[in-house]
Amino acid sequence: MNKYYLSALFFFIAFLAISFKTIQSNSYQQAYELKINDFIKSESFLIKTVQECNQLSGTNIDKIKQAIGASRNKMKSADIWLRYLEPLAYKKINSPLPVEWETEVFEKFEKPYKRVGAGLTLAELYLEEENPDKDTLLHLLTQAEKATGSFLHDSIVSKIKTFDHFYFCNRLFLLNLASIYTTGFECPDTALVIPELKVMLSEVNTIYATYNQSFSSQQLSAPYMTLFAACIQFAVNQPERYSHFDHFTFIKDYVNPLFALNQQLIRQYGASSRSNLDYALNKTAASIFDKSLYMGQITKGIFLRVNDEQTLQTIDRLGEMLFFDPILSANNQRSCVSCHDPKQFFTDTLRSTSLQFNEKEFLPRNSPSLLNTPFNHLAMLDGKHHTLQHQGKAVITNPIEMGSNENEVLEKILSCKEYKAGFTKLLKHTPQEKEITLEHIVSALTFYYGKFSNGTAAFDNAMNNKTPVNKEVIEGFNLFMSKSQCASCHFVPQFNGVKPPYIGSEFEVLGTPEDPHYKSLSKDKGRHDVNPATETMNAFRTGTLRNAEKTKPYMHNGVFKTLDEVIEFYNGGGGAGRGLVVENQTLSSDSLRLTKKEKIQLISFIKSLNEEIILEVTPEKLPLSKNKTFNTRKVGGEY
Amino acid sequence: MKFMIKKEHIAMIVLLMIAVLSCMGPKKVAYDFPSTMNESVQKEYLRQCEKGAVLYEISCSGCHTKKSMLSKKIPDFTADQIYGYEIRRSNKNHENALTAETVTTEELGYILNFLMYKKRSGLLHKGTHVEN
Repeated sequence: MNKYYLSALFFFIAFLAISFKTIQSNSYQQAYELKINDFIKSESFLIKTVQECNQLSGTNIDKIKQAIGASRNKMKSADIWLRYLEPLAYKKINSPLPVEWETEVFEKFEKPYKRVGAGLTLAELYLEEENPDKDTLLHLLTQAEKATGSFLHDSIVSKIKTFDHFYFCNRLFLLNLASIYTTGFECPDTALVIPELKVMLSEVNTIYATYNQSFSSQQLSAPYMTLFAACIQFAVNQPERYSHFDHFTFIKDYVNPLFALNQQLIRQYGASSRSNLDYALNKTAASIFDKSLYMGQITKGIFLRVNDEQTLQTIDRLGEMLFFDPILSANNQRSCVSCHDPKQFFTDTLRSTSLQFNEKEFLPRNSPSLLNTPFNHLAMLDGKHHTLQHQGKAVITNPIEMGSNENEVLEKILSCKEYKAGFTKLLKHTPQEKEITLEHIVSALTFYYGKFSNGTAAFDNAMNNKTPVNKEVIEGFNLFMSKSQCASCHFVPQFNGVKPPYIGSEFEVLGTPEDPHYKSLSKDKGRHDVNPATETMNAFRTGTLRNAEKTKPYMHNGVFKTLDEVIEFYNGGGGAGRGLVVENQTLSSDSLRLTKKEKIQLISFIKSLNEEIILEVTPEKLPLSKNKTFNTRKVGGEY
Repeated sequence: MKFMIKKEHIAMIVLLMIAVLSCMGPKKVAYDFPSTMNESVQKEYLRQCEKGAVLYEISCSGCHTKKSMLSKKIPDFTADQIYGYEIRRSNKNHENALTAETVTTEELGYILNFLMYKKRSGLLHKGTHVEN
């Protein structure tokens, strides 16, 4: 009989243990469902408020804005999950633009996708328009409510049942803390940027607590929790205005060290991601300001499987010689250096736009620096090329640039014994190719110049607590992140148009003039040439601000010669702010009202992004060809 | 003196057969292109498939090819299992094994074309398009 009692007792204890575990593992899920439901309730209330208004004017608008504000706080409470778990649904909840054309890294070989936005930011912006229409407003809001509801579907809820997703949600959250949450991106009322941040930090803290309770074997570590508590305290003690917020210290002392701890936990727990959002991100980067954080391009190209140092040196050496060799051009007089001189930070600082192949006319666009090009998913200012290798081939074969063609250039290169022997030796590393192709040639080129993008700037060293920067730089950065509205297009840490999770390149319409006196708008259609649409007319891919001081002139047509002119352009609200007709300008046409002192501070910060580039000695001679007429060519070309 | 077949003889014969078979090298892959595909398109697909076959061997066969002492079988994938860039994420192991730094997008296209048009081996690939 005792046996029966003992067995019953055993099963009862086992039952309790299992039940207790179930309850624990559900508390995180319950917190998730509670926050999503709270957000849906706030959206329903907002919709009801709009429906009950007879007219969209006066006090009614104030009432609606108040309801939008309340709903935004609920959204921020769940933002850590919303952005990561279903990014397409998020575009219906809080899109910054009515239409976005996207070519994210994994789908960039496909036609750009048109994604129509909706949600709270667009609703708030719509209320600022003349005579807003109730139905249009309701449409923006009901789409958001429906999209929020999708976060309760089994397909999404199932993702939060294991611990893995948490560390990736958190990684994106931390990257966004550094890049967008404090800048006014997706927050039309700048007075609310910091109050919303405070709500979000506090709510995330409760999410952390329920997570740690439910996933006791993969908890956030004590150092992480302590630092996050200090981060909240720091934010609470900061002024409410985003232009007075200390963005620099917030990122340096809190966000970046939290990111390092989160990366360590990802590795320690072996967290595994199935999301495309993690496609470009590196699990080993221990700092947001580490160049290995994400990779937009594979500079090794066709040699991507080569890892041994000696072979890499061979590729690098071949790439170096080719970079300086005018044999790539039809007349053997132009080399890569002609427009991308290493001594000029891999660009042409002497002209607005470089000379054409015919040596008489000028190219339509400014030569961009090759530095940091690997951190873009699309190459060229109009994003025409998917890879740096495609871009290299296009330049070699473009009649107004190098004027060559694939067969001819290959024949000429292989007529040089040194090139032929070098590439023949490398063929075994690319068994899918039976013979040397132009892909081998351009891959050696991209591998060579790609290594110069590993440089760090004084600003990176300050963020990584290596060497401090002066007060003027810090104040310039704080302005950059707030009042001057630079950071909502030039995202931390590359300061280009690639925002977390670093899988796409953004394009902007700035209203760049044809001439420095703003007589007319530049006629260059930009992205429209590649993807014709109303929104892409005159749009250009946002370039990096790294090395900006050294890479003049500026804008797609090199219209501005100094950084002061560029700051004046933005301060005046771009082309539209100067009276040019730019119907689709994505930059606000209002003046930024920057003071003289603030402009100096901004430029100081931009100068802190100059990188230390270690140049190599220029090759003294070029490989000899069997064809003696090629052997008169000069290192670097002639024009 | 009587000739006796010993175990050692059998083992030697088997080893010899394996050696001969391995010296024969990989079989030329045959393809099933749709009969409606015109000749120039077929030629381009063939070029890509041949590259894809080599790249598959380098990057995929270690996990996906069924190997025995005497043969290697490349499984037949359904269209869903080899649907575009999503395969980078559809299998847990692909998180590290099939990144942009191990197989470029262009190369992935070649591999997918190879798997799409190679002659069926009769060995169905197990697994779903998206494993949760």
